[in-house]
Amino acid sequence: MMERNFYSDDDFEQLIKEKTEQYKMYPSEKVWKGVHSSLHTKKKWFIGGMSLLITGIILFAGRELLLPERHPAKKPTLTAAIPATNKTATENTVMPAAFSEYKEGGTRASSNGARNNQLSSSRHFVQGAAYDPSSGLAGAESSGSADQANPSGVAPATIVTGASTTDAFTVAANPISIHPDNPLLNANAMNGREAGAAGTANTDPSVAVIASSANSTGASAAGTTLAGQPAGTGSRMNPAIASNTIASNKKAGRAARLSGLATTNADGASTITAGNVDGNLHTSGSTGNLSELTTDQQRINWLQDYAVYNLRPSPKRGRKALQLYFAPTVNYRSLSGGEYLTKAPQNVPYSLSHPGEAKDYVNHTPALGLEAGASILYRATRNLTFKAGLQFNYIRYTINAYSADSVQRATIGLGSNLNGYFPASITNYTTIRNLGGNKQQTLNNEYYQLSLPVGFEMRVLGNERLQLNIAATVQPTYLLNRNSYLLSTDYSNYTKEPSLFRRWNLNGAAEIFLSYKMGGGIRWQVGPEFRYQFLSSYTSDYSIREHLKAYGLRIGITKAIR
Amino acid sequence: MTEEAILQGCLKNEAAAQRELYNRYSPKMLAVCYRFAHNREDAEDMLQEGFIKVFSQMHTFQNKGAFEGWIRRIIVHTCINNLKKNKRFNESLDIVHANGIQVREESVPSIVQAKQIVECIRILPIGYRTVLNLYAIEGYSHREISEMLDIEESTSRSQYTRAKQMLEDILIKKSILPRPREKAEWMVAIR
Repeated sequence: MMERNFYSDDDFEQLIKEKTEQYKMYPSEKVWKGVHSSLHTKKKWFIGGMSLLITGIILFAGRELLLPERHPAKKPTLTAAIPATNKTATENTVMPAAFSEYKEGGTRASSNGARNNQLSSSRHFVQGAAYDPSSGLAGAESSGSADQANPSGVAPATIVTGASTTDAFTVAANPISIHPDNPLLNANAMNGREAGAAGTANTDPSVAVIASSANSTGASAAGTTLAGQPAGTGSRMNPAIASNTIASNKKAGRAARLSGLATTNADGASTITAGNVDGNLHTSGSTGNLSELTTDQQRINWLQDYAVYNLRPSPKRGRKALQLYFAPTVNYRSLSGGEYLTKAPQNVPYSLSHPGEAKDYVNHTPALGLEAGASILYRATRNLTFKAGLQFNYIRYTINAYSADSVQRATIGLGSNLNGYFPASITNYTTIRNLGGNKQQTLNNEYYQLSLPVGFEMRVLGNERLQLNIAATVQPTYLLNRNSYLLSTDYSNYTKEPSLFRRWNLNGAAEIFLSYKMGGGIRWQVGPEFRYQFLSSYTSDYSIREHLKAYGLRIGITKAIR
Repeated sequence: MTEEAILQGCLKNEAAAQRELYNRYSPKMLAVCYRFAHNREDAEDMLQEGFIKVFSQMHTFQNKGAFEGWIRRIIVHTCINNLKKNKRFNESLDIVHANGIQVREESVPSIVQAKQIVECIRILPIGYRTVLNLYAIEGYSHREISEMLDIEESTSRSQYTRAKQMLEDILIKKSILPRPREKAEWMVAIR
């Protein structure tokens, strides 16, 4: 065009042209910096930023999955609930068997069924047996018929729970002797005592009523009640006593009151009423002796404290989880618009042989892309989980076009076509043809997107291990970069015009997947997904609208965050 | 570097070749942009955008015709697109407004130089200025101008006639151009 001579012989025009050609201006350095950064630095920052993001996700996820934090069970301080040992009979504070074992490294008795957390099933008190720290766990077993719930073979007693019983025992009739250093017994006894002082009915449902009971054959032992505890006044076992040695030991602070409850024997030991922790009260029917109490008491204490100190509490199920996922996708697009309803554009080269929408004149095929991301999950209910995260999408599809030797003008009409005229247009030059050319050329339209998916997952079927789930997210999306061609208004050529692409968009995704829970709290999932772009890839100025679609197979791994 | 070497380097996206090409053509291209733009800042923005397109579309240069002409064509279209996008061009096609423009004496230098003529061209309303630039300086036909600017061909012709007349009046008023009867002698003298 520059070579064609459209100038008249007018000297004025010639002068103007000559003078303006002589004129030069030197741009500021920022112009070149802008050009250079657009061509080079953007790519570096983009690649660097994405590498950093992906590396950070992998590191964080790997640390959570491969090196989970361990929270060892905390052992309570041994002296927490135990008051200072007092040598006087009136201040009866004792070290229970378990504590002394920890302290002195004493042996522990084995017990049938000892390794369990069901502390309520095997604790027995043996009347008359007092704890002797210096003694081993071997000791005389209480008399009484054998019972499966009673490893020591002492005749069990039944707890009165509201039902009346004619069997009762009194404190005075069946006291037990305890060592002054055994607050466990003291505390239990205290609770039994608190159930009712002499002559006072026990109305505290948290306090045990101790009654002797028939043995396993039904024969009743000597009835015993707490002092003043009328028979038939049922109450439930103090759960604190029944289940927690530490809790019971904490009540050792009341040991001082033992002085009013216990009687001192000739050997200096005090005798009080035994407490009942599991409904099985073992009484010897006599005042008992210290050695018997020691043996069984030690066994009881060992069982209780072993369960408390050694067995790791079942881990609390957290609500939060981290999910990583990856999905190869097949990307495509739906084209619409471009039809000229009123009149063919007059100010844009237009061929009357091209009526209809743009999609009728475009030959495009799906191509592979990928999706990767990470999400934080929050389990609201058993079946419903909310999630939010960060996601990267690489979207690609191909266009079958043609290349030509000559450069042609590619004009893109902007705005609405009113009576055949576009209010504005953009003109570029290109050698890429849509409708025919010298040779075929395949164009790759690529998009790099960063999204913030927010949505939910819902369990539809299955159990804790194997589940069928559905999920949906809404994804505000930012277009990081693109390498895409636009169709000219006359459908004849392809050209690039970055200013016509929308930076912000909105996508939606839906998926259905199977998930399988493995050990260590890790859950794998796999399933198909569909993603759709709600807004056109182009600005509203461009008459053609493009909505990207993606079908993928998502593979994910979820790990609970404790 | 030879132009061929520059071209090959730019095709390989080499920064050194791109810088060399930019240094060679940016002064002249900025002058082109300056004739279309509202001010120097706008001109530099157009130049930056234009060179980005040049480097992006380097692969479409077919080695047919001058390289400078190919770059210039891209720069001119970038300027036109920029004006249309910013709606500056549409605001200027007001003939009534154009007739009311007063020429300020202090803005037009009295010495006959290229810069003065360029400045005088920039005084024109943007619609007149654009048509004048495209037809008289860049060498586009009225048909091509009508397609680029989304106007009728007859509008392009009339705009150019008025633009030329107005520019002549400005240059004569500022003694940059001699009066018509003295024109022939003056034209010989300044060449």
